[in-house]
Amino acid sequence: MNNKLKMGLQSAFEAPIPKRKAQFLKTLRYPKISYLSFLGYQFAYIRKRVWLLSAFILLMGWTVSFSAAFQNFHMEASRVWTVSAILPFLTLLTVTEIFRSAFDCMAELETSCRFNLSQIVMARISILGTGNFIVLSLLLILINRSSHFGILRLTFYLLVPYLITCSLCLLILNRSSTRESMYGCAAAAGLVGIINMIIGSAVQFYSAGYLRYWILLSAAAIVLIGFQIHNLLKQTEDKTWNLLLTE
Amino acid sequence: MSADLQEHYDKIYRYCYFKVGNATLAEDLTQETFLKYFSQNSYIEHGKKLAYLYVIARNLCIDTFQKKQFEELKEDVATVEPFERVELGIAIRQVLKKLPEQEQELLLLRFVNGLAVGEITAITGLSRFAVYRKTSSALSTLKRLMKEDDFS
Repeated sequence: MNNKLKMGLQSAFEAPIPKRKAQFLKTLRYPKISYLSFLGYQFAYIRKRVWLLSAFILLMGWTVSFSAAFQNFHMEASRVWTVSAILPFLTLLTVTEIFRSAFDCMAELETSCRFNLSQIVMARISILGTGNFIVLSLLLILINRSSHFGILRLTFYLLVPYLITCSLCLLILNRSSTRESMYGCAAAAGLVGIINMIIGSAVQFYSAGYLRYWILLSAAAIVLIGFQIHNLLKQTEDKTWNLLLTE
Repeated sequence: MSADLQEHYDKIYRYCYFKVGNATLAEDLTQETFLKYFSQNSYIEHGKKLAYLYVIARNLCIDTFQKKQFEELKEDVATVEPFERVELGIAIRQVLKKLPEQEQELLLLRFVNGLAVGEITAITGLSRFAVYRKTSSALSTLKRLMKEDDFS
């Protein structure tokens, strides 16, 4: 069918402008899906690369943990920083994934319209956070099996670069929700990775005496993350893309 | 408000208007359709049950208004469309009147509201083959009546 005929047909079947549409749709109450189903839909929208990188990090953790090359103390510290140096990139993908709807103007219109933006952001944070938690836990188990550091120290050695990157990325994205801020996040992740490598080469940082600094850094990063998530949820309704979803 | 829902509202309204030929009644029926649709509790996301929405609208139109009562053409019928398109629409509307109502309905569902053949079969109760055949026949007749040269 050619366009002219199609256009003519559309015009021929044109109805008068409905007068009560806006009012009706505004007051229409329709059943909403359960939060669990909603999480399921949001899970489907998360890009595969996040899970692929998670799997890669796990594989790396497994390789490093059971490799014969990492047997003495120096090598053991290297084992930790090798894994923790790549964790900021998992954070980068995770955080940018949370903000993706803002940049891509929602392919997920259908589902998102039934929930407000704060709920969508929270759903994504929950899914991605759970995914990252599983990765970190498995990494801890893997590295702990072949390490003398102990589970507490290992937790902080792995968490610090992850949490710092997370807080920096959230800080950057909260300040500027443009696509360019992704580069800022990538730079932050790279910087944390590099600093981590430099620290990793100075083995004394992984000694028990320095543990308090690791704990301090973790606490500071957690506070900053909490603050930034609070800001993010407060800002969500003001984000430009939300105007596209609501009247 | 969901853009998706707004779009469906327009399509159902257009369909009801085609069925009853009265804007106020068409809008009442459209709203009734949505209320019935959502009261079923079987509403599923992703628009999978689109055909069901049309079936409700169709039945409501049949129940409420067996005979068409076309309104006088009002100013708000002509929207902000280009003059050429409106003119073409009026010409086609005249020709459409010569087609059987079922064929008109098929053209509306298939080419104006953009439904898939599978959805049309669920709404009209026709087989896929019948939908293809009748749509094709309607288009041929339409083209012939409109003097085929204009659309070649």
